Amino acid sequence: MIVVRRLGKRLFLTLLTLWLVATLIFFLAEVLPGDLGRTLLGPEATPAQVAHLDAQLGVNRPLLTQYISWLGNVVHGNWGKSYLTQQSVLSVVVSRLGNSMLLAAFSLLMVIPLALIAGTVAALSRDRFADRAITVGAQGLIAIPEFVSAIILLLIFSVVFHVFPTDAQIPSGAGVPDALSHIFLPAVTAGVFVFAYFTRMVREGMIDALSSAYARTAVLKGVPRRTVVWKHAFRNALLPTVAVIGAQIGGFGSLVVIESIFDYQGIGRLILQSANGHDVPMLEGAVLAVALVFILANLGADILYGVLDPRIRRRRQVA
Amino acid sequence: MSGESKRPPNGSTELEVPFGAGSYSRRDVLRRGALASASLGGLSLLGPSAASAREYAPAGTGGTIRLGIESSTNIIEPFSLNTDGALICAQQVLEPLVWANADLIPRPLLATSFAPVNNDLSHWRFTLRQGVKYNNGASFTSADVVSWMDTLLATGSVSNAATLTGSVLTKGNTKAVDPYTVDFMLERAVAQFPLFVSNYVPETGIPPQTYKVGTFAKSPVGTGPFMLKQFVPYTGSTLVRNPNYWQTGLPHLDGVSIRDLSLPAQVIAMEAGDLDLMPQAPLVASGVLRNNSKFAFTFAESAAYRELSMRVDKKPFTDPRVREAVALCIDRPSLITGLLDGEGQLGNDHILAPIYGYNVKLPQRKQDYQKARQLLEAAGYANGFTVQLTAQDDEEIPEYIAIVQQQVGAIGITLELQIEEAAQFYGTSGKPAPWLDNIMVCSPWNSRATQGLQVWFQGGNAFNAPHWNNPQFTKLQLQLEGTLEAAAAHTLAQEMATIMYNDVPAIIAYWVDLPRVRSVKVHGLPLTSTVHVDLRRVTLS
Repeated sequence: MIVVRRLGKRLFLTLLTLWLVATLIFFLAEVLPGDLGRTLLGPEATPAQVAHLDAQLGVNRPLLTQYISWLGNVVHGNWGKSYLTQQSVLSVVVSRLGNSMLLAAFSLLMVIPLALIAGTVAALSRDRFADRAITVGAQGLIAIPEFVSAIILLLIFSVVFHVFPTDAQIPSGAGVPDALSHIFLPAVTAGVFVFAYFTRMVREGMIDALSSAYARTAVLKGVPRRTVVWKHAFRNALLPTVAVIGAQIGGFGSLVVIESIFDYQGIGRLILQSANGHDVPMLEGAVLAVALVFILANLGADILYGVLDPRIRRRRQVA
Repeated sequence: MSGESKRPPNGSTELEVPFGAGSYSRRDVLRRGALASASLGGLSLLGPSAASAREYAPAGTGGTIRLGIESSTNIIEPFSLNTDGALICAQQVLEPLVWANADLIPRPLLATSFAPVNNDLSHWRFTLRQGVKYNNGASFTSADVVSWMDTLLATGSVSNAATLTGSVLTKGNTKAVDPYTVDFMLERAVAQFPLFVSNYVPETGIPPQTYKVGTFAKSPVGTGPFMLKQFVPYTGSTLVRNPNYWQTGLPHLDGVSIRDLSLPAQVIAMEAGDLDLMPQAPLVASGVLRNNSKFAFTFAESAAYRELSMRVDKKPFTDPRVREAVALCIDRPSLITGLLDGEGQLGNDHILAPIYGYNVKLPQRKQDYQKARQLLEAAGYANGFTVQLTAQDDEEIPEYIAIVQQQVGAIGITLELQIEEAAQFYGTSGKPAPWLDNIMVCSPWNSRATQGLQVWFQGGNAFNAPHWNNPQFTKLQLQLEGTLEAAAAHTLAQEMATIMYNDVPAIIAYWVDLPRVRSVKVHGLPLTSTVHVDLRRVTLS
């Protein structure tokens, strides 16, 4: 019963969050510069032609009327069609979200093991050369904006050495190696910041865990160092990192830049394109999808947190 | 840059002449061609199929050319081609009656000839090419032309074609004489009417009469050299060779890939060998490729310009002396050198672009601060004034207006610059559009095939940004539009230019040469003074 009530509460909060996000975006879209009719007809259409098309499309109706109409459709499962491309919003959003998640997953798969190793090595060699090198290196990587690292990677690996294509879009029918070669550079670009951030988190977590009472007790009891590190400290050091990973999976913010530079058709670029073109149905669909993934990713992180930390489980059981 | 001619003697050909290989007067060719062509119905002599075999020996056949274009193409709709990406793609599939390259000579394409009936320039007769089939097997006939022109020009049409040609041709006045003859009954005499149904009005590419607006991506039926295989919004399009194209032996290429990319991404992709052609490559972005021997730059003189308009109905610009003072501050040669790397033509504050060949003679306006100060003082602004200048963030415009700001500052005029993205600049429906409403505006204008398609300065025109209304100018422009004889046309053009030059509703400091970058392995690409790309005879080596 408690579980059902908790799930119900969580579901209610999720729906409330999604509604708030959707409503906010709908009204914010209204203040975006530009005009749908102008986007569709181009700069050389006369103001009269633009007004005529806007009226045909119904985007000159009162905002509240448009909002109620849109919300009614969404509640009935109809996400509508894009104003600009006439494609089904749902199918485009699902496809673009899939692309972005593929990119994010590939990036995290590369980055997480490396960050765990680097963070642990730094913690174990605290204040020595390896630690300093890793810490300073991570600090430096965090400071590099994604558009800079993307351009540098492109120039080195695509222009000079021709190892990877400049086009991140995976051709239809491409095999796995070909597909991965297309998304390798954007995945690395997305991973640079995350790697540096995770490394620092793991390092701090490991240092905290290794200096805790239970680790010291284990050492004094004569438990081998390797066992102390991997069995006692490492698991605890992961806790804050897991929360961050959850947020990173759900956060597509950096992908807007990366997808634009690499011409990758992901959800971040879709949001940008829709906002630029005043394509409100598509913008709403894309933002709602991102919000949903963000909520689910954080939910997953919460669950994983509980799995890793028995104290959380016990606290929940007591509650 | 590889050594090749920047300006071939005839833009319709693919001749590539090394630097210093000879001198020629391209403008003479233009002048003679543009004016004479309208009177020569039998221009099939200059038709594309005849030209191709003679002028260009293919370096190879097959292959797929890869183009990059910055356009955010959301849809390809022949009724309203709203982006360069949509335009380039559609023009490979759909063909107009007439095609013109950078020389602006109208050449029959789906027509075989055109001429005014009984020398009446308001009644034109086009003979259509027989044996042309759409890629769905249907024959191309006059019914297709009539149906499409009536669709474009229907009442309340939002097509750009209606904007450009609506005052000349209206719905119901395109008439089929027989299956291969079409008459155009115009609202007035138009000497260069064939250019109104050419690639310079890109919506005049003719789909079959069965075409329903909005269905092009699903059923891309056309007579063109390529067929649309796939279009992905915001990504690009893939086209394949039309095996039954009516011009035997063409196209040489197997396919075309058009990628929708930002300019920096295009430059990187060119360097990496992932692109073959940037049809529109402003030097601000592509200059980095200029010294690379893998690429060839071409520059086509054009009628594209940056209009620095001043609202003549708002102080301080109500006084023409103030407008002239501003114009006298601009150092035009340095703009061409600094902004365009020398690839532009001097403007003289009138709309008659050099490429139209009217040979307008007026003293070239030069930077003259002393005279500018005198004019300002005489107008009552001895201490200068402050005004906002709104501009679109496009190509070299931000740099241009920054230079203008600095130069007019020398006589005490303070410009407050406001640079806006296109979405802001062109405004929202129902609200004043900055580019038409603000007191001082800098906006980009594409090249047109004839001054008759460049009517923004006529009183009452929707795009008249300076709100200038000179009835004599409007009258002269309409007269020029209907004048065929070269000497008379020159006189009218001279008068028009003089009015604008003296009244200065806008500063036209330079005409932009259209830069295009291609890999040196691309051959046979004709020059055009717009983004149009004619790939029929292109080969890859």
